Amino acid sequence: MKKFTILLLLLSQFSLFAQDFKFGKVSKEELQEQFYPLDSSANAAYLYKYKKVSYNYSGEEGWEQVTEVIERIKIYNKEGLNEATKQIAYYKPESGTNESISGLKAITYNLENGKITKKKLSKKEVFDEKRNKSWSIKKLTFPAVKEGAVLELKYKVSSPYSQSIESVILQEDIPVKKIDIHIRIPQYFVFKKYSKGYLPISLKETKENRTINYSYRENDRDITLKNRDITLFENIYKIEEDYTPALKQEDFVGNINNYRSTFSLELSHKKFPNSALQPYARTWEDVSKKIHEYPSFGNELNKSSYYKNDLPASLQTTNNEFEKAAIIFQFVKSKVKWNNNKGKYTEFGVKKAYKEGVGNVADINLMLISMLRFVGLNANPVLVSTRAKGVPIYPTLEGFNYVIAMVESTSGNYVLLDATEVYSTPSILPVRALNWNGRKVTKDGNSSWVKLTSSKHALEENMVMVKISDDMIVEGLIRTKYNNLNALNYRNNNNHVTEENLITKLEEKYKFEIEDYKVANKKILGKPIVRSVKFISEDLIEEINGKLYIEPILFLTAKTNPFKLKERKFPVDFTTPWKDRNTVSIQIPEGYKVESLPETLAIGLPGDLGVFKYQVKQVGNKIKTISVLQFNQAIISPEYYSALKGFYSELVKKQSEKIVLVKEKI
Amino acid sequence: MFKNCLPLIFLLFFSILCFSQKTKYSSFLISSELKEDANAVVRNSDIEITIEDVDKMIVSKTKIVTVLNKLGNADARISESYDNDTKITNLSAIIYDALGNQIKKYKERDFLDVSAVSGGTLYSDSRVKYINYTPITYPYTLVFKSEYKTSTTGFIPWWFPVNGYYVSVEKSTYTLKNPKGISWRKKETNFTDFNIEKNDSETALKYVLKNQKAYEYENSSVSPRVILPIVKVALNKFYLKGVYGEATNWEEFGKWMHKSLLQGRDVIDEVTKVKVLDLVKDAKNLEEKAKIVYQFMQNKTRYISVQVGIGGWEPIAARQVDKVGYGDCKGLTNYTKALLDIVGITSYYTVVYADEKRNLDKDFSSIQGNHVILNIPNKEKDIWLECTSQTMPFGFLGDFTDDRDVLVVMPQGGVIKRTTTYKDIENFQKTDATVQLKIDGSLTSTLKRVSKGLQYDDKQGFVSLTEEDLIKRYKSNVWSYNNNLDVNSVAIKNDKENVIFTEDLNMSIKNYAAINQGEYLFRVNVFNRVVYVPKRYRTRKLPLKISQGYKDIDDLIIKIPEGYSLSNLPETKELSTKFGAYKITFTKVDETTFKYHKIMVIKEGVYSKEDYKLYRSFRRSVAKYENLRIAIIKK
Repeated sequence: MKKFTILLLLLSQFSLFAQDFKFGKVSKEELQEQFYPLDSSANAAYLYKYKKVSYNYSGEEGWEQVTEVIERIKIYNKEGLNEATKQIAYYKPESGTNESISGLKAITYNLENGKITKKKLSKKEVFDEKRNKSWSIKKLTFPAVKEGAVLELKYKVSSPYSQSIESVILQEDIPVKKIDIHIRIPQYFVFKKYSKGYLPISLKETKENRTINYSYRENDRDITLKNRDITLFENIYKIEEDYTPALKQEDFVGNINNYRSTFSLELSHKKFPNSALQPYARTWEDVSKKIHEYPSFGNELNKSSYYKNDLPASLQTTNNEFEKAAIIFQFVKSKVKWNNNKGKYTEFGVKKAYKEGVGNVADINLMLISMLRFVGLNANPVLVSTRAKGVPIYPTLEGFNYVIAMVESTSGNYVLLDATEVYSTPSILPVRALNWNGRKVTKDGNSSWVKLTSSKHALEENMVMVKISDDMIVEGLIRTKYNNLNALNYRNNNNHVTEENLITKLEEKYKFEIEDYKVANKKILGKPIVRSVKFISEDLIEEINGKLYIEPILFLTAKTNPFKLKERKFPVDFTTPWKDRNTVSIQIPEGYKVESLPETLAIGLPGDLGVFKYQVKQVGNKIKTISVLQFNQAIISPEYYSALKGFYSELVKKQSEKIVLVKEKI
Repeated sequence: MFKNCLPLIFLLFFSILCFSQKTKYSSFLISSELKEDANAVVRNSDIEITIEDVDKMIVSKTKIVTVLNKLGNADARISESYDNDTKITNLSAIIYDALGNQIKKYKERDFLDVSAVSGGTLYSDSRVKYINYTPITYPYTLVFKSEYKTSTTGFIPWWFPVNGYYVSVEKSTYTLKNPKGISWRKKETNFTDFNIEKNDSETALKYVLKNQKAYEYENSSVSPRVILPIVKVALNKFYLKGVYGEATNWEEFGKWMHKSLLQGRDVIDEVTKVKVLDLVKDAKNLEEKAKIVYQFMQNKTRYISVQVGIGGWEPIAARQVDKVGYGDCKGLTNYTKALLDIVGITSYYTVVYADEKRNLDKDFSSIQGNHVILNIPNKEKDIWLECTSQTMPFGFLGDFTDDRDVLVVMPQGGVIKRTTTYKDIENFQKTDATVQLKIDGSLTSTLKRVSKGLQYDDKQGFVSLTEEDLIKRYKSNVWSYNNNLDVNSVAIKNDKENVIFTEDLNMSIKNYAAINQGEYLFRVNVFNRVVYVPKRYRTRKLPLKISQGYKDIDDLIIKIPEGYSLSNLPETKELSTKFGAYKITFTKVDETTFKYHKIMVIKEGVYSKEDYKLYRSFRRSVAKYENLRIAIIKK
């Protein structure tokens, strides 16, 4: 038995060693492989992904970070050819030291008549594109790539920016057969490790000694450098993964990169021989404090001279803290427009932004906080990572790219404010900022987490009243109310559009013709949007064999289930809790009576996540229907996916059930 | 007393100047007529082109635009592009508020300078300098000045005084100075309904358009190029990124193009020659040979675009494509031509406007087009090849380059030809299905769908999808109106030989029918519901254009569940209009089976604006019949 185990062990060892991942050692077997063994739908795959990060030392230059990359890519079919084009971005500012790329090699391997052919990329086929002021890109495409080809890429990045290590992506949009990550960090740089994604990561940590010829000054007055050999240890992180599946995009996912398997290291502190410990941001508490200390954050909060004579007089009319906040909120929005740039630090500085009427997120919201504080309110900045940026995995200054304001009342209530959005209202933040939690930072630099998602449901309410004419034409009124995030989105999408275009858009959506159209409260942000429409439609009644069939909520009927996939690995992200409420009243036409009505239904998702209530009943000569769909959480975790799919499917089925009217016998 | 006089006068003068400046850019001076349907008003667009020599041109532009609302920002972009042989010599932008007060000023150094390489291109030398201005109030007025110098005179900017929808024009001026009197040509199009003044001499040209109201966008209409004024200008002797040229008509232009950009770039190494000759040795005729060569090219290459300098106009050498296995449309077309030469087939490099259906102007030769395909003259019918696709069937163009005037470049001169057209009934889809309705309201079905012409084009991409994605496509896209659709099996066949796409599916749909007290209701048209109804216009102003015609035939054999009986089937519905025809018929086969037969034809064409209403009502009726349901009753 023991023998057997050893044999098995040997065998498995053998199979691992059978493949040679050294650059240039592409095997015939790899070229012959027809499809990815664990996912035949893959068009291409990484056969091997190697990354080594280490630190070089030289007396003159000090520490330099070196990243060596080797990639071996298999192209299974024509659809995979996209993988044959590579872009390597590197930092190259107009002034200051830049990263450099060296040793770039790219080779294409094909199998022709049973023989391996090699084609190298020539130097002049590597393009260097200056993208903008700070970044350049090396661009290349592999030569002579055929279906079945294997591509090898190798390069080295040298960076003087030794304090940060780029996150290691362990999961790609195509499968990866073998990942080999090797990070060696001298003891002077102390990093903390983090990971994310739904795949397990097998990390091995060891230590090894290393000797360098170290340059130093005996004391500050020394002009010449002295050298001596010193031995230090290095922390070594190794990750080896086999057969990592591809990450596939799905609907309602928010930012897919939140679920991508990633390993990150964050500098905790530096400690060089004979020097004091240099700490870097460590906890979220530290990060927040650090940001707060930054001149274009903290200092900007303290300035008030530029606006103090302009504040609206209406502030005197109220003592209510939130009313005061709302007045200032409105004032900032009217004064400064957002230039679409995000950022936690000011771009122009609050003063200039105020004067010129344009600013980035920090210009606007730090100004807002300053004013709120100026009138005596308890206001603080809340640092945010936008949805596009994703959820940061470890405490880092780069983890935040946005800032909003928070006002707390003496009674313990609070509101969140974002004045970059003209139509936002207290606590209704624009979608981009609705990402998990934000970090509140107080005047003394202390900080704590704040939930960003509003507890207020995004609301849509429709009230429809119709009657049916003799020739089966449906005439009526629909009154629609949008509130909270729905109101913000409505105003953002529609306020600048001409009424005529809005009418046609709505006519297309509901397939009716509009006779009268009115929208109230377009700019009265404190109130919901109320749209009243008079319409007429010929297409809502079906007459089959003398009977009339009508969908109880008419054109508001949900026709399709948005969830069509069998299963799902990621949460469903609705952005906000939401509620749709429809009430429809249909007047029974002269000479008809009800033959049948759909039965009442009320279903819910586990844990009060969502509920659907539906009721159709006859009241006198009217049929009244109430349909309510409500989700109490913005995010539904994947374990409830199949319940959610079933829930929606029942809803669609229920709403499609018809009212049946028959002629009364005379 | 005297001391103060001068400054006072100066001040006065200054303030008058200031006032006149102010009024100049005030938004209040715009007539209400020009504000109608406008998001922006071009107050004065002034473009002045000086041709100093065959290889020296200066283009100087001033654009003053008042933006009335958020949507008008698109008409006030502050950007200028450049590349290796175009140098920007002047760049500035000033913003004025509604009263005409200056609120923001940008100098050249304030502009951001970024690469302008677009998504499909690996590398090019085009760059752009731009400003992202954030409007703080509306209306505001932009004064944008730019000037560039270039050696390329192959592109003299043309005049499009009305450039887009929802923008009106107070004044637009176009001046061309040609002090050396280099011979040139010009062509004016669609001038009749516009207020345009013209001044014309041997060495100068000037157009002014004034007070043009904004156009509103209307869907299903002709391209604005067909109705809006354009002036096209070209030099008879020109320079293009390092290459001199001379032409006064397409024939000469083609001859130049052949000589300067193509000749000598079609050499291929011996190894490939031998290989290709071996491949075609058993082929019987031109078509067979060409097909083998085309497939050889498709298997060997892929599309990668690199555009630097003359590389934007000259194909990379065939030998290079042979070596690296990629190229852009020019390189791959030229390579295919070189391969065909080897096997003794004559073919021609052909310049075309791809994607949006647009002709090369057959009466006006100049550098035109944005894509290249290959033409093979053939006895009955020319063969056209799209060389940038690895999957396109031999001789099939699809709607990317079909039915338009193109320039065929022959060594003896250029010729304008028309590419293959795929008319109405050639774009054909036939659906045959058997549908078994179940007692619980679900159904099962086997379906076969055959597509040809442009309907083939629509579906050929299915081949590249994984089965999982293909099924997702059917569920979420093709038949998204059928909730609870499950695809149990699917087989697709891409017959490139005959350009026919066949799909065989086995499906089931839960909860398809509504069952209600002994009544069983279901929509008869299960698999081809066409419910598009064009948008309603209270007053339609532009003509109607149906850009693609087609024909669909559906034959469904529908079996009802046990225990129900077929009562009366609906009557035949028929619609016949100049835009197309529609007919559905129902035939009882036996007590539990009936046939549903549908023919729908849509005819491509341009129709009058009055016809729009009729077309809409036709499509409305169709949409209604497409949703037709039948009730069957329990025995």
